[in-house]
Amino acid sequence: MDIVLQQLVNGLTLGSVYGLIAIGYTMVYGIIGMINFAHGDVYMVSAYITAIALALLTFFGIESFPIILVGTLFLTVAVTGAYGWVIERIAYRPLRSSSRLSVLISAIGMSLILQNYVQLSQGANQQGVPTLLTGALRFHVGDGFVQITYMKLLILFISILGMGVLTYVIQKTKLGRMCRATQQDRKMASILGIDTDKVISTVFVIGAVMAALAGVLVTLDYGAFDFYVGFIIGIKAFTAAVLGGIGSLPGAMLGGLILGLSEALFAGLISSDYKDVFSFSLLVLILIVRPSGLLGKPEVEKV
Amino acid sequence: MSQAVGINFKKSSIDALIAGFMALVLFGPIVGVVLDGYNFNAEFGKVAWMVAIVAAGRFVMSCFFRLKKAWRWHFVTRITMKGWRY
Repeated sequence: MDIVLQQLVNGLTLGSVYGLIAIGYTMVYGIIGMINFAHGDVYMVSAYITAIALALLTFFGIESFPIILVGTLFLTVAVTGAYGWVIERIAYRPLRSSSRLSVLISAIGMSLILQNYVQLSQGANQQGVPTLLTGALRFHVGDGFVQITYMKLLILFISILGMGVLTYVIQKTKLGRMCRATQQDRKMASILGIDTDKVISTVFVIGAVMAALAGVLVTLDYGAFDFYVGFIIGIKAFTAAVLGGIGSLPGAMLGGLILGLSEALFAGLISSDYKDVFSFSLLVLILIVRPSGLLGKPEVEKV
Repeated sequence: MSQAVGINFKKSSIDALIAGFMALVLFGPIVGVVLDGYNFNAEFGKVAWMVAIVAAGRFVMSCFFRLKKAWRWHFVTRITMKGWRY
């Protein structure tokens, strides 16, 4: 019983991170109908910025954990958001009227450029950050116990906060209304006076900011990363977005949580070697039953 | 002369400054602070070069695309003709 509970806790934290990254995929797909293949690498860049921000803050003698956390979050979110904006300007905007295939190739190219740029600048070796937050809560369950580290609690808290703020922005603010209008019909939104180019740029920045939140949290928790770390987690987050229904914001969060929970439970109870096989099999099964994902709407061909 | 050709140095300079600032934000942390274990080595010279290249490139591009169409073609043909001659 304690193993199941422990894996549920691990799965929730993992799932919330997948959810944060999946939001970037799903928002970009929702608004331009294309997958941003460079999104995983934006996450990788944010992991490096986290370590750099930590190194700089420590260099300037700051040792208080809350100040380090806020400083790192601020710097990483700002720089990674700028990367999201620039990726849109360089790889997507010039090809807005081109075929979908051109944009796809451009996105893959941008992903490779980011990987090689970071590898050239920072070296190919694995990097790490020191453990900043130690300690855990322990709950006794039967003969065993369930342990939740403070870092995992922080991941859960910041992820839920981030998703909550984003949901509020999309549902209740003028910017969110413009995003939803552009998602529904870009041409009509443009006719009605919405600067759709600016909205698309903003969506890329929002996606990058969510990836940056995930990058800071995962880097502080796991401590190790390299220039290739964005690929695997990007694929997983993309899977989560498809599982929840690509284009749907609650779907991305739900997909992330289901993927994280199923992965953690399978790893804890059956085998950690085949956890990816299990999660991707689950994806295939769900897509057979619901081809548009759990909360996605089937595309209607307009005549 | 510059007005007749269509060059606006003030606007192109502002363009170049903005591009340079963006380059500083993007390249500053990744290129300028190279991680070495839990420490780092500063490589600000590289960042300065990259920012200068981006700003200069943006200035040239901005000037070029602000040219009146006829002058733009005049420059393009002159450059390409020279290229062919050599």
